[in-house]
Amino acid sequence: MPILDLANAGFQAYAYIDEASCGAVKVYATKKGGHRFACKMWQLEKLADRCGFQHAIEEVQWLKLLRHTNIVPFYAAIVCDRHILIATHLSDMGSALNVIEKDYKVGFPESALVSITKQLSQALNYLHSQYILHRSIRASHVLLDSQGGVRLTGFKHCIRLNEHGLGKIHPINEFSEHLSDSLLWLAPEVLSQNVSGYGLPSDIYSLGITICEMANGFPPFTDMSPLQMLYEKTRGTTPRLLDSTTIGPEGSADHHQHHFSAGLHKLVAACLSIRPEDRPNASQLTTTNSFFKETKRPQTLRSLLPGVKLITEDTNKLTTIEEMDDSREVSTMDQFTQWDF
Amino acid sequence: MTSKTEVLGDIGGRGLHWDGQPPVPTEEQANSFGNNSSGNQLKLSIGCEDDEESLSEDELRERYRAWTLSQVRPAPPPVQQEQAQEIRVFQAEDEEFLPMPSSLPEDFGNELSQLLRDNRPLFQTLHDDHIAEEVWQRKPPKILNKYLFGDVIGEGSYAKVKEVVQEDTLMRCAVKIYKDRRIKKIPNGPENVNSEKEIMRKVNHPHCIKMFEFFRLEEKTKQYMVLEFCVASLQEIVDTWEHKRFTPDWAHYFFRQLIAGIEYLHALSIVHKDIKPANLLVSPEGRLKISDFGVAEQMPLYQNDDTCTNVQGTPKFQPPEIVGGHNPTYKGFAVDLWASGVTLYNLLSGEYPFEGDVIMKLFENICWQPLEMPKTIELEEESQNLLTGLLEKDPMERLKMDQVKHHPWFAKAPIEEKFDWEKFVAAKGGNSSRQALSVFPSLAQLYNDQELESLDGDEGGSGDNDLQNPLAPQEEAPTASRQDQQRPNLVDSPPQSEHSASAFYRGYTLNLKWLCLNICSSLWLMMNKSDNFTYLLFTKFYDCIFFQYGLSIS
Repeated sequence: MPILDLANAGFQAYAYIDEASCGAVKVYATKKGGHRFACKMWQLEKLADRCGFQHAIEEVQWLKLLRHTNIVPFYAAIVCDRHILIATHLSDMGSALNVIEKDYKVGFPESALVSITKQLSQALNYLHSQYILHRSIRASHVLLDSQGGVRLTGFKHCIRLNEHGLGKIHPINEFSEHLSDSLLWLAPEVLSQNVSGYGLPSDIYSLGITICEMANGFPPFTDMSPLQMLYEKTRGTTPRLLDSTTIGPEGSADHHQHHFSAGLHKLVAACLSIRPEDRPNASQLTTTNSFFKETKRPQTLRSLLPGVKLITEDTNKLTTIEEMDDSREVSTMDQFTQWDF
Repeated sequence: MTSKTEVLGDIGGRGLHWDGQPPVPTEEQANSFGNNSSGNQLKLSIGCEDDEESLSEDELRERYRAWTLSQVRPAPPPVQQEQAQEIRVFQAEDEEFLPMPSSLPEDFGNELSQLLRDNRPLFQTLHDDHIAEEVWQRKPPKILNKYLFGDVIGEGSYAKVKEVVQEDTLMRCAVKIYKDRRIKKIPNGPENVNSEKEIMRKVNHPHCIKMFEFFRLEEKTKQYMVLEFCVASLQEIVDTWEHKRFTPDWAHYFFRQLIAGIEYLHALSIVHKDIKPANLLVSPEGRLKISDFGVAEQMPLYQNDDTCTNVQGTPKFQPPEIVGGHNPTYKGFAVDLWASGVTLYNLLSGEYPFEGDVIMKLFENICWQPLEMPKTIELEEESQNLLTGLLEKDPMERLKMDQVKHHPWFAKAPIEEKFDWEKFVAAKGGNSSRQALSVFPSLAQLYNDQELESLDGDEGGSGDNDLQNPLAPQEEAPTASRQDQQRPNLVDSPPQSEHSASAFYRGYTLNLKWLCLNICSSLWLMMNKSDNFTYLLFTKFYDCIFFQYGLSIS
């Protein structure tokens, strides 16, 4: 019986990153040689009742299929000792949500937003050109790399608009309770669940919300109950960036310090158009938008977001990982499995 | 029309009087409507909600009967045991005949028409708006067990079906509401509901409707079955098509799905027994879902064939071995296949293979009339062959499931397109409630009250204000700007008044006079049919307005 014992296999638990959505710990380990990678560890039992084994499989399948500079590179997936291990490229700043929560509580500066948005729309363009709908674009699924790379992850809700990649492209109507963990990011046409269905533009709407989330430090509609959010979205309320031009005197002082360019405001407004056909498509976002022309030369995210402490530098968490490591469990399991019948 | 009935149902129940004496409430009336002295409790619903208070036609009739009986015996208030019994006996005898109160003025109709014609103010005392506001008091949005309730989307003999949205996941579902009282009246009702529930628990297939939850609320004495949301039944859809039939491609598309669903059910030893277009629903993505397991039967675990004894279902879709009545038992699976054959026949041609004016004639035709292909349309050779096989009168000769699946017509590739709702939506007037979330008015009521207040002052202004002034102060979450201009097409906007989008929900702008005039006149028109029931409605309404508010015809 295989035992989850990465230490013996030559890997070293290095730091604890995050609790992933499937209720499992996300750690990353380094090989003794020095190559680092992120490793999602999902406990099978938890998976079974939370978001389902099927979703984990789907996510792995998508990760295997997709290859793009702005999509997280996938190394391996193993099922071992009640765990699924998914090893992917390590993004050393963590997800955009991590960065917001730790270091940029009132949101990112515009230069970083521009860089991230641009790369995200490239990833989206790649997906959309194959008629793949991501369906859960959100800050926690945007991984940031200090070397400048933005990588999209979180593919468990991915779906193709044409079955098996063949035939015509149809809007889809599917709405399941699994989608409910990212309700805030979903486009109104997804939420209204009517016969007309939704298509690629719904991802652009989610992108718009994600930009707001990264700019404001929290996603729009957070303070509402889901029902109220549904009401606001369907009646045509559009969120916007918070800066000194859009909020009144009683807004928080932090947001007053923000000054976003007109281009960025325009982009967000376009992405959050109520009518799906009014939104720009992904390729328009990467090429023709005037807003991107302002970025002259590429800068690393490290220089754009100087306040971020890298995961690799964060040694405090090393102790946490040791506590959380189920090595004790493994050793007890060892005693049983050593019996050889 | 139904909404009117409900409206009046809410008011009604207090007896009418023509001779100046206050009506004497029977105990039942007193219980259900409280006492008159509680004053202006008059309520009308605008129809975004109707719940248990709304009365069905039957109940109204019943109340009316009870009331007329109480008029016959002006003794009541403390109803004594004996008297109550007496009344019941009387009721039983008088089931058919509803006596008209003799006190109805004969020229009442003329009087009313004169009033309407003269165009005089119909009511004397309409002081100010507060009466209107009381009249238009809206029912609060209903949230039960985390489901926000929307419109009624269907009604069967057992239950009413409403659209709901789950509060946390925002899933759009349908909920089937079983009223205890109603179920007890149906023979075998409680057992059938129970078996339906048990079967639904087991079923998990893309072409069978899924049950998410089943719960019971004691205080409502109702049971709720939360189901997948479907847009319409195949029957409703096919009715919107030309000649009430699908093109062969689409009939093939749905028939394949139907067979897939039936095969799954049969593999679980479940016989559906009531396959027909009205019980086959279509989900928003155009997928057929077998529904209504009310008469379905789960074979006992150790029974190794599909022999059934219990006969239930829709006569038109029943095979000869059932309607013939010769055999005490029959093979369940063959019954479902026969019914799917009738369904296919209907989908392809818009006709039924066997019909009869009376039920005995229908049964006779099913048993003895040879199958004829539809005359209005020339069917393909292969589909004719399949129909002949499915509508074979001898159950042993009838096609079996695997034969159907290997039939060349069945096995051909299905149409590649996705089901297009356009035709259906257009036929339903373009703004079918099935399309948009019908909970929207409730949502507006839940979350829009603030705006309502502000609109009281300056109607029509606030929407534009926001647009003109992007710096307008925002409340607690300054993340949102309202842009009513961009109202989407994807929600079917409710009717808007010229002033503001929300005026519709307020309803206060409606003129009470206008309303009364309208209802009175329409009721009076109906009265010309001298139907007891419409007469009842009229008098109820008359009574409410004229008696409760002390209004009188000028």
